[in-house]
Amino acid sequence: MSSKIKRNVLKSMIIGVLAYMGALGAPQPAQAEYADIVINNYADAAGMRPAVFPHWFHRIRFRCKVCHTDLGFAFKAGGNKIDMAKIIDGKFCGACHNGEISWSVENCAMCHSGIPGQPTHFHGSTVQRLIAPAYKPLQANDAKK
Amino acid sequence: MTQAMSERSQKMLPMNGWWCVLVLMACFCFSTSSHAAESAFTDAANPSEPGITAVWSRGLHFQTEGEVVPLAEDGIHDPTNDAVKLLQEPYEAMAEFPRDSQGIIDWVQTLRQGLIDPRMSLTGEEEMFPVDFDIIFKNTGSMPHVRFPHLEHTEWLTCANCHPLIFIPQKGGNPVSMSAIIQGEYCGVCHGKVAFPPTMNCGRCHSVPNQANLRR
Repeated sequence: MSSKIKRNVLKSMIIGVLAYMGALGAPQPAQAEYADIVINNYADAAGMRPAVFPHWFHRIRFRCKVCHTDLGFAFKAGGNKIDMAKIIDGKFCGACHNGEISWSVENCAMCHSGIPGQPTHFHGSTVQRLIAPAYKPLQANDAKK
Repeated sequence: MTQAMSERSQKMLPMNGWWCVLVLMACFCFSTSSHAAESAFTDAANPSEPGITAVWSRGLHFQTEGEVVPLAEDGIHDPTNDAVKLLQEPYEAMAEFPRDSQGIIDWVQTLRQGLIDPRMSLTGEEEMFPVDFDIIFKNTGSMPHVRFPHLEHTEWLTCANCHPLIFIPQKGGNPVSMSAIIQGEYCGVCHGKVAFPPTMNCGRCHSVPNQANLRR
């Protein structure tokens, strides 16, 4: 009887240690910067890499208000339905990325730089870490509009 | 019978417990040494930044944890894309930025210390209209009350960014709760996405002493 319990304890400990070592070797979650956004509304379907928008880079250069009021970006990842036609037309990203304020749309791979197949997501957000994918952010505000 | 079993297992547990602790310590040594190897690799990848201590990131970020990962290895940029090499690295831009008590980059201080001068319009010709008044939220249970400073927020945003879609402009008119914030509503529209997260530094919002607590 005692040897049986001993075996059980040993077995459970070995399983635990193996699980611990497995977790160490397991692929790490993405380590991209806080508030990086992957936008993949249309890119994958069009055979492009998804676009990556780094918030930190842009907020060093512009106040939040410039994009989120003047350019009309909604506070929602992938919620602006941006396509290249709008950008070339000078809307959204195209307000700056036109070769005047910043580099222009010929530099495809500088925006379309993400790993293919990633869904549109807000990297490192609390919602994504704790609640997603069950929760759809800003749904309540969408209804108000 | 059951008593005898539990006694026996209690007798055995200390010995097995020590064995377990030893194995865990060995695992820990293994993991730290492999981390050191990885950080050396990250350093080697960025010889131009010798001052930065590269640490293996546990899915965390330079802004919130000070952990350094090159863009090409960050898990969302495609390492086979040569254009990624042209992009600025987060630690090149933000290494000198001040951090709050929890080590999160304090963007308000960064702006006020003049380390950055973000444009107020596309061409930089407009001005912001900072508004200096505080809202104190007192429905915080046993936590310190929350001071919402309009000033810090209006240095970055305009009124229309928050009012009336996220907050109706009426005192007590917004049923803000931590649950709603963590689900990305109210403050959580920005805090937990681009501004400092609601899960990391309670005291930065809950900063006003709660009289109900002081009396105890």
